[in-house]
Order: sequence, then structure tokens, then C-alpha cells
Amino acid sequence: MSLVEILVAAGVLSLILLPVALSFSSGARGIQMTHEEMTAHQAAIELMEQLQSLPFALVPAGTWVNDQIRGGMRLVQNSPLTFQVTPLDGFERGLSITELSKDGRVRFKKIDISVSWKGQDGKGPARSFRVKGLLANETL
Amino acid sequence: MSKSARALPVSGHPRAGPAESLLMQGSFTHQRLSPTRTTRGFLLMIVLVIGTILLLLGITLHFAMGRQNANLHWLANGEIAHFLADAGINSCIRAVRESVQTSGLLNQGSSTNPLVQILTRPQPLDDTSLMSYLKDTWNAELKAFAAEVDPTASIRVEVWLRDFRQTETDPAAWVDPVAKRGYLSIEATGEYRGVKRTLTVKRQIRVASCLPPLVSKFTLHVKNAGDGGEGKFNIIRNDYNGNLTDGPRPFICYNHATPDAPFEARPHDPAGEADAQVFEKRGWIWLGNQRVRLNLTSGPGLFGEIFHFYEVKDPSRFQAVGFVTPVDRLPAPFSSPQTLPRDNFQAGQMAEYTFGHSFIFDGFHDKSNRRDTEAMYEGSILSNAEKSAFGAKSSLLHLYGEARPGFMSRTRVLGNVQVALPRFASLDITPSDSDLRTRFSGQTPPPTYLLPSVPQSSFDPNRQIKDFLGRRFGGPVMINALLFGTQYEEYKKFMSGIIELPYVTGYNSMQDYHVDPTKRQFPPKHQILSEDRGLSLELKRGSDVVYKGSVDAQRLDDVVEGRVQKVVPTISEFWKTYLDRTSGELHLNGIVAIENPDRQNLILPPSDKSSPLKVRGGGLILLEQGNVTLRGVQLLSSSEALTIIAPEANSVRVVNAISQQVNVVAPMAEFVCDDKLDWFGTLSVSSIQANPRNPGGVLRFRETQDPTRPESLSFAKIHIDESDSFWHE
Repeated sequence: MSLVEILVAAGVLSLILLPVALSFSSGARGIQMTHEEMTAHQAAIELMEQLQSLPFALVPAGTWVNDQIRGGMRLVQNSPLTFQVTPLDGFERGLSITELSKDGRVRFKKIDISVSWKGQDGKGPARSFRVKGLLANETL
Repeated sequence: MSKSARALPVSGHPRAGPAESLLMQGSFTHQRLSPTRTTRGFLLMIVLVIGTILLLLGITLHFAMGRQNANLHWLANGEIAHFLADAGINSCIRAVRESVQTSGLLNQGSSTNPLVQILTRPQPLDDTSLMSYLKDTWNAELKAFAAEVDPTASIRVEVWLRDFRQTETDPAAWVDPVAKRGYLSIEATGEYRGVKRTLTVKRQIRVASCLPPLVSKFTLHVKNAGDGGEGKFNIIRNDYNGNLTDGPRPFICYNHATPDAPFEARPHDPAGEADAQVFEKRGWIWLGNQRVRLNLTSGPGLFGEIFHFYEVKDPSRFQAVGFVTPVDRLPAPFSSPQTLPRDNFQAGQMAEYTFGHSFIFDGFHDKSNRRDTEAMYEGSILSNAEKSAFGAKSSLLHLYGEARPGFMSRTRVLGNVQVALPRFASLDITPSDSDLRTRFSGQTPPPTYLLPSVPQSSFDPNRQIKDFLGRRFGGPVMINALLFGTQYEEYKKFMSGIIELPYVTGYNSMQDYHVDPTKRQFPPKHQILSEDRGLSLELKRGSDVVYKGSVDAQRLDDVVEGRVQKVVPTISEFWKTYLDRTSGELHLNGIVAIENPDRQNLILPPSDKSSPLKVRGGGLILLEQGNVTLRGVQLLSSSEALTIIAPEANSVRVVNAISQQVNVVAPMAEFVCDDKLDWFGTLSVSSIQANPRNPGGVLRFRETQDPTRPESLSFAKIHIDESDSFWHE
């Protein structure tokens, strides 16, 4: 084995390791993103399931920002219901509830939940996750 | 030899170097062993391999992460589709159920309703969409509301009948092609960005007949009829004409629709009566277990039933029928004319006579206008031994109806059931001489040479056979031995006496009448039915076998338990649930078990309600414990039936004379009747009380309940569970 051969091998190895490193880096970013999206998904579903389980009449229409959606906070003033959500650093929840009516009667409440965050531990671009659903008026 | 060559030995020879070893084996040339050629490029190759592997790993990781990310979004879209489906079903389930309700699916009385027809069709039921039968008011709205969420979102709610299977398919238990079990399936499908989720609310549907299996073929089905002695039912005191004097009255079974039947009244059909297989269309009777002997009631009166062996055409001219014994069954002297001394001339004057044997049957009668008791033993034709063995009272059970046209109701009788009846045997004597024949025909009453009943100890072969009034008009002077020999057994076969026959003999004899009423012989010419204990019964509806097994319906309980659609704990809860307190009507419309742990009596109607209990919606009541008391049951529709199954009951009691339009199956119970019976349906019990004050009455078979008829399948009850069985995603 000559010196020349060793130098050539080292050079080839360097050329190969460059895309390898890039793909590993991309994969690691993907893992991070998936983890974040999973967290966001769980946060959104947690809130959606809570709202879906509430009596239709007690679910108020309106819009809520992250600071209004914290564990123990009332949905609206004087409401007997409070949010029961897991605290999440770096994630912000948003909630919008809209009434859908027909023939003068509220048939559904459309629930739109968004969870936004800055990717890569706050260093990356802003990202968000949305879940939408209908809450049915079962008393009609 | 270089170091590298030495470092890579290729032979196992202990003293040879690698090169020498290879050379010795002749495997390699010397040129191939050059060290520079074997190691050149090796490092580069290693680097390339490692690099390639790393690159592949990196690419795999990259794509795997991408795929996982896509899966996460697919999962999220699926969650949204789920929420849409959930919202869909929550929003419209009431409308769906209302639509199902208004579709008539639950309207048990409307057999023309298409949904009822689908469920009660006597065949397997495949998965069936009900959307074309329902007023779909919800899917258009759901579509619009889904569009508010996302242009790709949709919600659709459909109603199906799914997963139906037939539940009564074993002929050893019972076959009912209508009985089935499955689900009413309300299915909501939400779709969001190409991902679908379906939520299903299932409610079990059970379809089963409210008629009792097997026993609905019977008017009367009595498991242990002979308990208490084979003659226990012979307690009725009647006169020669079949009218009652005092004391108990009989139960009369009408095994087909009669002119006065409720719902199913039918005029008399003489042509139908002539059908030799008419029993197939009628309600049958089973008197099980021990031997039962029923003394046939005499006369054409209100309760007479001797029409089995009498002239049946005109009950107002009720005439005994002379039966002839076929010549081939008679002793040899009957087969040719005999020359014998004449009874009204000097000794030695002879005449030629031809002999035949005939007899009439009669029924039992306890009284006449001359005697208060045991009048049938007047004249010493019947013996004291028979008097003590059979008595003179007739049977409490009249199995073939009564004498009026349209009410005679011969049927199949199963079990060890014997009919007892007096047979008055006589000789038919025809002189060959025409003058003597004229003398014979001029006698009033006609010459009668009875063959009296005698026990063996009193048998005298030399006893002279005379006209029963002792008249002398040119008849033969003869003794027993001349015609019957000297053996008592031979005479016994032809003498008068009370005989016992399988009950079905009457069926066959009546067939003789329908074929040729002028020529009756005994035994009957027609042998249609024979004695049958019912051990291997087979029932068919068309070509389909619906039951094959013993008449005692051993698996009836299992079949009925499998039909139960609803269970209530107590009798009071039952009435609370199903009795309309305002109208007093029973709205059962199902098959309901009452647990009744306190073993309370089930009284129909309840004691605080006036009789009868009006049944708007029929059904089947399984009374798991306790007895049954009936105060009158009236069906408000001919398409309804009410059945009570009481497997543990000790008694079934009728307390008034109001019509009982009901089927009762209580295989351990005694049937007790406190007032005149008017039963319309099937009665299946363990025994019938032979009450010395029995008020009598009628038991009417209900033809539409006959399981061999297609119309019996119309008594199915559809039950949809009140709660969702499960959610299915």
C-alpha cells in the first residue's frame, strides 16, 4: 500500500461522506419535525376531544388565543367549564368556534384548532398544525 | 518468499509455507503470488464500500422521515374524518331513527310494510340498504355543512340491515325460516382530504315467532294425561241422548275452524270432510305418557259424541249404524246356509238359514228415563264384570268435536289413547224360505238375536240363542256351540261387550262413512291412521321439514329462550311496561321474559283491571317462574296471537267464562277450570284436572297458527334493541 493510494482513498472518502452527512442531517431534522408535529397533533386532538365531549349548548362561539387556552381557565366568563390542557412550551394553541345554522336553528358548531410553533427548538421557521371538526346539536 | 505471502497461509501443511503449499497443490501459478498485485487498491475498495453503505443509510433515513411525516398527516386527516363522521351521526341519528320509525319498520301490525316484509321474509337476509325505504332528510344537509369545514370534506349517513343469520334451523329443535338475528346499522362516513372514516351505530334486531314451537300444531297437548289412572277422565253423567243430567261437563275440542269461531269462522264443508288426509290440516291432540281410556259419550244430544260410529249426516235423525263383520273373519258355519229346527213348529220341522254377524256401537250413558244410574247395563247385555271395570260415565274429553255439521272435528290423536264403547252384537238371520222371510220382515221390532256379554266362568256352549223378546216367528233353534264352537275365546270375539280401541279407529271408521255410508264394516276398510305414540313425529311446511322428533317437544324451552327479546324482572314491571293503563290494552309486540323471582302468579288481566285483557299487540311471554291465572284474553286483531310459556308453573287456571284467546304452554302444570271454558288457541299442560264440578266448554284450534301452513309465519315479532350494541369504526 503506497502513500498515493492512501491519499486517493482519503479523498474519495471525503467526497462520499459529504452527501452522507447531509442526508443524516436531513433525517435528524425530519425526526425533530415529526416529533414537533406529533406534539402539535396531540395538543390539537386533546383540545378537540375535550370540546367534542362538552354539551352542545355549553360550547360558546368565539375565538381564543394561546394565552386564553390554559389548564384551569374558563372557556368564557361565568362558564362552568374550564380548559383542561397539557402545558406545552414553544407551542401556541388557537381556537375558533363558529355556529352553523339552518332554519334559524344552530345545527352545528364548527371547531377550528391550530397549533403553531417554531421548528428546530425555536430556531427554525414557523410551522402550524390544524384540526377541524363539527360538533353536532343532538337535541334537534 | 515474501512476508505477505507467509502471512497468508493457504494450506494446512504444518511445515510448508503458503507459497510452497499452493505450488505443491498446483492450484496457483507463481505469477499470481506477486505481493504488489494482491494488495493494490484494497484500501480504496474498503473506503468505497463503507461510503456506499453510509450513503444508503442516509438516503433511507431521509425517506423514512419523509414517509413518517406523511403518515402523521394521514393520521391527522383521518382524525378529522373521524370527527366529521362523529358529528354526522350525532346530528342526524334522531332524524334517522324517526325515519326508521315512520317507515313502519316497528309497526308490527302492518305486514304490508316493505321493511317488515324484508325482515319477515322466510329466507336468509343479505346486507340490505334501507335508504330507498327511508325519507332521507339528512344527507343533503350534511353535505352542505361538511363543505363549511373544507372543500374536500364530506359526510354521509346511511342505514343498513347487516350481518343477519337465521337462528332456528335445527329440525330436532325447531325450524323457522323467519327467525333471524342481525343489526340495524347506522353508518356515518366522514371524508377529509382523501381519508375516510366510518362510524357505525349498531342495534341488534331479533325476529322470532310468538307462536310456541311444535305445540301450535295441537289443540290439546297433555304430557302426563294418564296420571291419576287410565280412566280418570270418565266422570261425566249423561243420558242415552247425550244430554247431561247433573255433575261435570266435558271439554269439547274443535280441531278446525267452525262456523262460530272467532276470526276464522268457516261454514261447514262436507266435501272437505271426505278428505282422507283431513287430519293434516287440523289441530292434533296428544295425551302422553300413560294409557288413557276415554268412554265415548252416548247419543246425539248437546254433548253426544257417538257420531264416530253413528249416522252423522243429520244430527236430528241420529241413527245407530249397523256394522257388519266381514265373512272371512267369521267362523265356518257362517259361510254356508245351515238347516235347523224352526222355533214355531212341531219338533222336527226344519228350515234353512243363512247367518251373518253384525253389531252396533253405542256410547256410555249413566242415566235413562227409567234408571238413575248405570242405565246402560239394563237388560243384562253387558256384564257385571264390565260394569265394574268401565262404569257407566263418559269422558270429560271429547276429542273429535260434537255432532253438529261443521263441528265434527276428527283429527290425529297421538299417545296411548283408547276409546271405550259398548258393542251390541247380534246374529243376522236370513231364512231361505220366502214365507219365512216375510214373517221375519213383518216383526216389530225386527227379530234380534243378541249375543250377550258373559264372563268365561258363565260361558255355556249349550245356551240357546233366542230373539231378545222371546218371540217365536219361525226363527232357528240353535245354541252357541253351533256357530262358535265350544271355546269361550271364540265366542268372546263376537259377543256383545265393552271394547277398547285405539282412538284413531274412529277416524278410519268415519272415513268409511264418507266413502259409502250404507255399507259399514268393522274393522274399518280404511286404515289411514294407526296408533301412534308420537316418538318420531315429522312436521312439514310444504316440502320443508320444520320438526323431526318426539311429540313431547323436549327442546321447546331452548328455542323459546333463544327468542327472548326483552327481559323484565317482575310481573308488576311487565304490566308497567306493556299495559296501557288508559285503554287497558296490552301492547306487547315482542317476546318478553319475566324473571319473577318471587314466584308470583301471572294473572291476565291484572286483578285491578276489568276482564277481558284486550291485546292490541301480541307476543310471547316467558314466565320463568310462577303460575298462570286467566281471567279472559281478547285479541283485537286476527293477525295477532298471544302465547304464555310457563316452564315452572304448577297450575294454569281459568277463573271465568270469558273467551281465552291465548296459547299456553306449561309442561309441568295441571289445568284447572273454574268456569265454562272458551279457549281459542293451543293448550299444552302436564295434566287436566278431572274436577267433579268441571264446568266444561270448548277448546278451539286456531288454524292460522298451524305451523304446517304458510300463514303461521306471519306471527313474527321484530325487536330492535333500545340501546346501541356497540360502536364500530
